This record gives sequence, structure tokens and C-alpha cells, in this order.
Amino acid sequence: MKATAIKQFTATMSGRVFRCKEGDALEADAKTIGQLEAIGLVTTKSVRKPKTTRKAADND
Amino acid sequence: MINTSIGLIGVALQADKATAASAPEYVHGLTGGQVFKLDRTVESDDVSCGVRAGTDSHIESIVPGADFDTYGYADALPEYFYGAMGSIASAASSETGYYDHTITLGDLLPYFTVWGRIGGEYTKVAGCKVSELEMEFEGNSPLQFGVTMLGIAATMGLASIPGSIDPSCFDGYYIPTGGTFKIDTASGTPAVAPVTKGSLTLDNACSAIALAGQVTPGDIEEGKLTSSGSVTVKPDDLTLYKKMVTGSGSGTTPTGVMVYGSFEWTFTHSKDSKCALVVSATNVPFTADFPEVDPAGGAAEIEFSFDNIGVAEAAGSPVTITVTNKVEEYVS
Repeated sequence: MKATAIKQFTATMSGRVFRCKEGDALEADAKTIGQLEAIGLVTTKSVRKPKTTRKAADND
Repeated sequence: MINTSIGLIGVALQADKATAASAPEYVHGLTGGQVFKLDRTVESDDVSCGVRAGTDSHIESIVPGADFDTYGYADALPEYFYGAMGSIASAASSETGYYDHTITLGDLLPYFTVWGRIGGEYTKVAGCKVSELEMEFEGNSPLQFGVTMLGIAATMGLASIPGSIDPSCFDGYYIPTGGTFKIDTASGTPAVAPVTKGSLTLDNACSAIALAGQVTPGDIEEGKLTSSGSVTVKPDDLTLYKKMVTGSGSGTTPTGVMVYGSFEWTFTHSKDSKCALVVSATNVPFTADFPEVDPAGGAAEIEFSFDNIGVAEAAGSPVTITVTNKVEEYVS
């Protein structure tokens, strides 16, 4: 299951370490994503990239 | 002489089971208990050998660990909660320089190395897991914690606790004073109530795995997490009791349908107003005795107790603990 980090965080869920910055995509099992989503660190809804990020990506 | 007033404990998260930490990440004081414990089982050999007495004994097993009581020190506390629950997530708090650590149920428990000091004696136990973590509060007394750890490898006769970290005991601890205490016995949304005391025990039912030819454990394995405890209230009326028994504050007859309640305790810190500790649960199967008559009088107290908080969804956690402190993260 995929999700997007809402804010910068470090987490250990079921022995796996997640280090994410805001906007990072992460993939894990549904339970782990559910736990991170429940405490407001990630969202499974599609996140619109910040304008600056999109512009930088377009230039790549 | 071993001066029992000189006690200290150090703890560090291990990278894995086999790799003991080299020095503590946190060092703090304690209010009692044992910084080093050996559950040593000695069995007498049942042999008849021509005399009316036994002959030998043998050591069946040795399980090292630590079993101590302490206050809630802001930096070390999330480490123990993480050890008891299994998952931790850290993110910047709304206050600059402070971080929120949210601890929830995880499938695996981490390993710790624990150093102890009593008088001039120093010890170390590696490969520890948190078997049981108890917390309790009453009135304005500092929040009390009891930590029981089981480990794999024990060492005595150390020259000191390695490293040069200042003990956390000089930086204050979590207290109920100025905190907020909420409970509801029939919903997941607790409300402020006249709570007098409370307790929570997180029991992982850890056991030491004995291997043939080895007296110390091959591993420490955790079982099912049981979250039990109580919230004691001096209520103005029987609403909380009626909600628990009937499902509604205006109910009149007991229901056979299980009614789940919730609680949320917010603690403050004795020296840092930006540090906080929040303990909450939203699927609590409360039970309580109807208050007793007392000819001497006084307000009735009702103790709402719970034996085993379950989860309402796959990603749920029986208890959620959020600690705000100055430590950025606990995962190395």
C-alpha cells in the first residue's frame, strides 16, 4: 500500500525504519500505513505536489 | 558496604538482538527495585546414593534482567514505552526544538542494553525486552513507572557505566499537576471528569527461550500485549456508571451488548512547560462496582477498571502514548 508523508518524521513500525520528508512517497503493508495515517504522519489520498517541486521536476 | 542510596540505570536501544549497545543513550535515577536481576533456578538432583541425603544440585536456568521503579523522565520515557509497545513515530512538534513521539502497537519488540549501578557496583544486561511497563498516578504525586525487563546476557564487575551522559533526574519529570484527565464509559470521545487516580499496565508476557546446553536464554520472546488498569473517579452522579452498564446516560436497564469507553490523560512536566505526556485509549471495556454506602459519609469513588483493551480496526492500537520532549528521534 502506498502513502505520502504529510510532514517530516522518523518511525519504526514492526521493525522497519521509515525516514520521510514532507511529500515523500512510502510503501508498506496496510496495517503500517494505517497506523501512520492514524497519527497524522501520512495520507493515502493523492497529494498535489508543491508548485516549486513540480517546476523543479519539469526541468529535470 | 554497598550503599543502596546510590542507584542509577542506563539504557540504550540495540541495533539488533546480537549487538549489545556500547554505551547508554539515557541515564536516569530510580525510586526502587533492582537494576540487575538474575532469576536463577537451582534444582536438587533426585538421586539415591546409599546415604539418607541428597548429593548434587544443578543450575536449570539463569534469566537476567532488571526490575525497577522510576519517575517519568522526559528523554528516557519514550524508549521504555517503545520497548513495551513496539512502534514509535517521531515528528517535529509545534514548539520549536521539541518533538512529538507517538508510540503504538507494533508486531515486534526492540532489544535494549541496560546498565545498572548500586553503590560502587556496576552491571550490564544485553538483549533485554520490556516484559511489563506499569504507570500510575494519584493526586499531584509524580507519575510512577515500574519497568520489568528480561535479557539474554549478564555482566557484573564493570568499572563504570560507559559514556558521560548526565542523568536525566536533574531535568524534572512528568507530573499530574495542571494536567487534564478525561474518561467516558460509552464512547470513544472522553470528557473531563473528576479523576483522582489511575493506572495502566502494558504486559507483553515475555518469556525466556531456554536452549539445550545453555543456561542463559537463547532469546526473549514476547506474547500478546495485555493493557490493563483503572481510572478512579469521584463523580457528581451515576452517569458514567449508567453509561457503562446501559450504554446511555439516561438508560435504566443493563444491556447485554458490550459498551466500550475511552480515557485520555494529559500530564505536564515539573520543569519544562513544553514537555507533555498524553496516554489515551478509545476501545476500553470498562467495568466497575456500584458505590458502597459508608455511615461515615464522604463522596463516593468509582473505580472503572479494564483488563484487556482490544483494537477496533486492523491498524489500531489498544493504547496510544504521545510524549513531547527535546529528543529528535529514538530510532538509530
